[in-house]
Amino acid sequence: MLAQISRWTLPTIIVLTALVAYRIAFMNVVEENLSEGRNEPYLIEPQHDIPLMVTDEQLYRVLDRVKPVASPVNTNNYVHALRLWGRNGDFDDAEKYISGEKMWSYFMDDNFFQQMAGSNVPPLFEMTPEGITVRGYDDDYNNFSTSSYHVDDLLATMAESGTSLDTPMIVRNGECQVRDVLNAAMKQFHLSRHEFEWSLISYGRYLYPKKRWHNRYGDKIDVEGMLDEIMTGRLTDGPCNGAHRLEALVVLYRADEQAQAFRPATRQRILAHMKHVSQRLVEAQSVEGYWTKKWPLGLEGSEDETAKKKWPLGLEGSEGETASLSDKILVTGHQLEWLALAPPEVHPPRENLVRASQWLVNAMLEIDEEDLFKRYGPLSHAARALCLWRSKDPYAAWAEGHEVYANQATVPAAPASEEYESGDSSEPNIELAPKADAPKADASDGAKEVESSESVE
Amino acid sequence: MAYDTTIVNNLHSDEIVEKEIPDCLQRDLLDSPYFPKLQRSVLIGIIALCVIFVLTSVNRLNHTDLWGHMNFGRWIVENQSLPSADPFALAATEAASERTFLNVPWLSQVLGYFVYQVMGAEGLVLAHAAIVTAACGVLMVAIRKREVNIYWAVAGGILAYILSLPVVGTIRPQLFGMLGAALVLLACVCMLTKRHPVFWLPVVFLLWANLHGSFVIGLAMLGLAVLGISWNVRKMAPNFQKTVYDSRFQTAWTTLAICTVACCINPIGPRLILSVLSFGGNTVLSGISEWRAMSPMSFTGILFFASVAMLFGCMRYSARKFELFDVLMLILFAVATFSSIRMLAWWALVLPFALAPHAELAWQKLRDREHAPEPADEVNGMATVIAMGFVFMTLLMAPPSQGLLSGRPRGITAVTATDTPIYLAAELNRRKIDAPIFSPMDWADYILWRNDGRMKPLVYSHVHLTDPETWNDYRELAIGSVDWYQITKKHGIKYVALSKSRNDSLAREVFLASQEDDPRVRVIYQDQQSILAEVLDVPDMLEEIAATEEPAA
Repeated sequence: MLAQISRWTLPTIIVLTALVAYRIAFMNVVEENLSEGRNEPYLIEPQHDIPLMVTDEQLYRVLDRVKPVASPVNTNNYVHALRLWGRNGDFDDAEKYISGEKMWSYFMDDNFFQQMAGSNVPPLFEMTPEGITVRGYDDDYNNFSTSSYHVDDLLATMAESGTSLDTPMIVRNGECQVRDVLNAAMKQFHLSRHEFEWSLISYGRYLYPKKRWHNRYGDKIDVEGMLDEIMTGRLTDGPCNGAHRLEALVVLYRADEQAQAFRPATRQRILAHMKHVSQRLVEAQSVEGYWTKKWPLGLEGSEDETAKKKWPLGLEGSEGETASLSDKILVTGHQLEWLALAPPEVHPPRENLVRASQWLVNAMLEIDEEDLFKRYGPLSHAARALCLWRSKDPYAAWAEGHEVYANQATVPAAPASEEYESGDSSEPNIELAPKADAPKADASDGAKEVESSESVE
Repeated sequence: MAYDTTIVNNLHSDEIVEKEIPDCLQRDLLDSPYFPKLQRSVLIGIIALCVIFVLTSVNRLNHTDLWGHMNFGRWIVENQSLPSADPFALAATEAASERTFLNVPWLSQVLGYFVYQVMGAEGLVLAHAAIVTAACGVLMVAIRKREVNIYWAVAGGILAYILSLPVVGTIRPQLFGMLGAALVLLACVCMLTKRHPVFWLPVVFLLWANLHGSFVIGLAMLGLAVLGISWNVRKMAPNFQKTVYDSRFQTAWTTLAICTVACCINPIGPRLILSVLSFGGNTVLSGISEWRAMSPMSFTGILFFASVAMLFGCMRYSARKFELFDVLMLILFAVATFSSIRMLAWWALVLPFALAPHAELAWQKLRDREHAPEPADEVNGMATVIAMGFVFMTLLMAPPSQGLLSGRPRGITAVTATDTPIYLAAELNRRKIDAPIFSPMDWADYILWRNDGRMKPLVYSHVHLTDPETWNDYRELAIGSVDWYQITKKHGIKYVALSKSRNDSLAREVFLASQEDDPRVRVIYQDQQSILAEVLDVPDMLEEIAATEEPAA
């Protein structure tokens, strides 16, 4: 009897024992800590100083136009301003302009946030069971002006401002660190997202070269998948006409220059993509120097806007419309911004870059004061792009310029006769300044169109 | 040299050799009364089942109606009662469903919910693989009981798995039915010589009637078997009286009677049998692909016709006569499968069961051999060890068991089918939305599941609970009707969750409307798979809609 029982049960018992032993061996599963290791973000330094793109005085004049207005409170404007000016920004009219420190406190200290936005405004950051969450644009239409406009844009700005991960934060219901915001963001991240640009920028600056992790849904996120998302989609997919995807790509590329973790083939693939974009930009550039949202069409995209060509419409795309001045600034500024960080071998010829930047300077100087606030985001990108091409810290450039040029009323002409400092173009006598009448006409037309624009950048 | 001579001399006597071999080496033969020995053929069968387990466990949780059943399971457990009307339908539909509401598989829903509670989504995948493996294993035993060589029995189990591939990859209560059907086939064979099916088969039917409506298939199988047995007995008996007193005849009919009674032990009693039989007449089901007739060029069609060709091939070469029971089953399920794809699950079991004895003989004839006795298949303790090793390795390799054993479950995205709206559901949850919603019906199941059953979808995968008018409106919305706003307002829908690929027309319409500040709709979330939009109330348009509806009313 005993032998019979044994024959029936022994194999099962042995297999179960082996399984239990295996289970015990793997009992101590450690929760994946995403942000272990580096505490400081990678800083992607500018790599050019080309006065031909923008002179010191032009830069000052442009920067002077995009000083951060304190009121009304607008999170999106503050985050763009903080990104541009950093924590050092401190302007002459403290009533009108908000300082870098105050903007910093607005994001890092909920008490200050409540002072500025009002105590009845829901918190920007909140502790939840899923970690630190950020109130998004779509979450509360009654308070959208104090919300984050893009997924993980605040975190990306912290990274771009050099904020270390152990920086303390005071949120409405407790205290935390920037590390907690990063962990929650990366755990929530997935590649099916409509917007993932700022998440990738945050990843590139804080986490890279960590190549893979699992989000809270069990999805394996890896850097190759991210690169695929950027490089296999349509060029205009994503906010700001797809420019932030290019920015994310260049941030990853430059971060890898420090980490040296990509395979050579991957680096070549990234370079090839950036070069492809660059070629399209050359083809699509207008005579005046700007780009419109049709730039991915290349030569077709460069045609006059009156042609009003419809271009492939997708759910995430943007319908081809007559380009407004603000749209031109948006596209041109963003393109020059990522190009400033991109390796020189993928740049368009210097002539194209100079033409674009000079158009941008003039457009920035001529745009309506009212539109500056409405379209602060794109304008701040444009100003930052110009600073990057001069390797200048925006606040330092403004402060220096303020001492020299503040009392001069005129805007200097572009330095058409200067020699190129470097670059592959060998033609110094090209027309550098935009045609005098073109931007002006655009500026006045565009201003009207901007008034009706509600788009969020 | 002297040493070698000693060994050679010793080899002359087995007795001496046994004495020379140390005990520790003799134990390696595993010749212990306490340790089981397996035939090599059984080992092959176990390996085949391990392979089936691994292959099935690779399937992801398909969101056909799984999450709908899970919603019911949760509702039943939380409310400690069975629903009397559709608890997830919009108010109007819920009221209408009270008269016709029928939720047969309540037990599998509750079991599924408990499995999820204990082991999570990995547990469901594991249960899926276990049930399919068990069904194939039981079928192998049933075929073997027909005095078929065990290798052919194993082949029959594998054939059943292959034939059922279009349906067996999806976890649903019907899998319990497949296991039940395999057990019925086993009982049909056993009834010829043993009485024990009278005792255990009713228990199977009692459970089956509460696990899934396919128990009527089992009753049909059993009924045909009883007819077959009765026919055989009648042929051999001199008169009807002798037939009735034959033990096989009595066992068969007694089993059928008790099983039929066992099926009536369910929440609605004997009415269940009639309700299930009339289930296929629901007009809404005609819109569901699995209830449609088979297309010869589909994967299902190719499998079906290939199996029929295989059957005729075996008939051509087999010397064995087909039992009446086999013939009746083959005809019934061939016709049923041809008229409804869903019936392939039963054909996949019936065909190997009927075919294996003939395939074995046909194979022997083709190889021009007499019906030779089976080759020696000695029992061996080592075969048991190898089998244990295979089972152990299978559990380590199969993704769900590996995830559970290692304490690292794969996470919901790795376990579920790729079209499952995981991120959309998370977003709906984050926003705490619990208003009426339109979404693809299979998405609605998952959204409901993640939303703790708070949302009210226009239609979810239990379409048989939907009235035809709502179903038509659902289809209109799904294809992007120009009257989408009117339809949503008619049903009080506050949100539309759209698949960019399957509802591309409406998704595009809604997206563009939102971009153009159309007061009717506002997109509040989108990812690469979906769009979520809030359908707003526009007073003027609502009045207009009310005015057009009044005359109709």
